[in-house]
Order: sequence, then C-alpha cells, then structure tokens
Amino acid sequence: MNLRNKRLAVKSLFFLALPSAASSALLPLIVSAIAAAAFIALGWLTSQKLSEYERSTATALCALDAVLCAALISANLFSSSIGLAACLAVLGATYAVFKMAIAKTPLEAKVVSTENRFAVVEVGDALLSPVPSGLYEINAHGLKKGEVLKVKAVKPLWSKTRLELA
Amino acid sequence: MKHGQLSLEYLLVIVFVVTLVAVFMLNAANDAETSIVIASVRRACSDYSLEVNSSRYCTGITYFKNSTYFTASPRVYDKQGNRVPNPGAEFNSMALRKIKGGITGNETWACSNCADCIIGKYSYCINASKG
Repeated sequence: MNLRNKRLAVKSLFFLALPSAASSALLPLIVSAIAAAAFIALGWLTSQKLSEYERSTATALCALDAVLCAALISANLFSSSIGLAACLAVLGATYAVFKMAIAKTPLEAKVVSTENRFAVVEVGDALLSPVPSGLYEINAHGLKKGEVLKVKAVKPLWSKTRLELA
Repeated sequence: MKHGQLSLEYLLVIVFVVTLVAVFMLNAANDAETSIVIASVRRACSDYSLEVNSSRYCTGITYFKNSTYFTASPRVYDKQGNRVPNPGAEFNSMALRKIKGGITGNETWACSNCADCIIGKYSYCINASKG
C-alpha cells in the first residue's frame, strides 16, 4: 500500500468510527462501542506506518475521534438536560482545543528555489494538512535550496491561504 | 478577526455540527423510547385488568436502565390494596408484548426472561417487585 492509500485508509477508518458510534440508536451500546473502538484502533495502527510528523497528527485525530464517539454513545445514557449540557460543553471544549492545535501545528516544507526576499517551498501530502500539496511562495530570506522548514498556514479574510515561517 | 478559517477547519466544523445534531437526536430518541415503554406497560396493566384478572390493577410505573437492560417496574395491587410483587408470567409476557408492539408495531412475540427479550439496543425486563 502506498502512502496516499495509507492516508486514505487512516481517514476512512477514523471516519467509519463515527457512524459506528451513532448506530448505538439501534444496536446494544457495547456492540457500537466495540465497533467504534475497533475502527479507531485500526486507524491508529495503520497510521503507525506513516512519517513521525503524520503519526503525531494521527494520534491527535484519534483522540478527537474518541471524544466524538464517546459523546455519540453517551447520548443514549443520559436523559437529563444537565447531562446533555455537559456533553455539549465537552464537545465545545474539544473543538476549541483541536482548532488551536491545527493553528499551531507546523507543516514541513522543502525549499525549491530562493529569490531575494522570497522562497518557493514545496509542501508534500499529509494526513491532516491545512493546504493542498504543491508549491508555495513564502516571504523569507537567507534560506538555502533543499532546506526543510517548518511553516504554518495563514488565511486572512477575503484572500487565499498563504504560508509563513513557523 | 485577524485570520479566516482554513479549509480543514471548515471540515472540522461540519464534523462537529453533525455530531452535535446526532447527539441531540440520539438523546431525544432515547427519551421517546422511554416514554413508549412506560405507555406500553400502562396499556398492559389496563388490558390485564380488563381481560385476565379484574382484581389486579397498577398504580405507578418506575423504570431503571443501564447500557444493556431496561427494567420497567409497575406497582401491581389487588382489590384489597395489597402489593402483588409477582403478578405472574402472563402479566410479564403481556407487558413485554405491548412494549414490542409500541416500539416495532408488532405484538406477536413473547419471551420468558430478560436475556431473550432483546429489542434493538436493550433487553427489556418487567420486575413488579421493584419500584
């Protein structure tokens, strides 16, 4: 299996955990929980064949998936509005943490060419990347061709996503 | 706002919104199922008094559920006002048939113990001695 297919397999397995957890509406909770846990575990195991950078991303995705699945399964257990409010608060907090993590996670990019204050860098495919793979211009000088950098994606309102040095 | 949303974050927002809606729907479905079970046991109590034993009647109905079992506990009394903790297999069977009818629309079913009475995610039990 090539890297592209491995990434697709990891994303698919993590995604399949969610409908498995939601199936708790019809199936015994233990069955749904085991199915969701199996998909998450398989996704995580598959991700261990990726690069170190992507492995850490996969672990973050794995944790996010586990929280979402737990919320879906536990929705069958509480019947009070306090339980529902607590569940929503946990989901909200998880979203905030993950959004912060995405904003702070740097991407690996390789310098392809340099010119004055600009450099063209190549971003490869990744499990969880805020930009598609390809060539991007970044505003930086003193870089050497072939150098591997950490960059972060920035999206100002009303304009395209650009990369900056992390 | 200094920064907009990355496309990845839009995907994350969609996943979270879908999950939130699913949590609400599962919670509502769970509450609806509880209401159906209580109403079905109430109907079984009425039918049992009318069709089988007119000296028996129910007052309150309580329930307990965990991840596997849903136990409904009707308080059954006789005409003298004495609690009947074990109204018998016929009563339990009728209540379980009504529960099945309430949930699936098909009452042609009976079972003898909790472990056999699986409808969807729960094993349904009747225990008149609790509650």
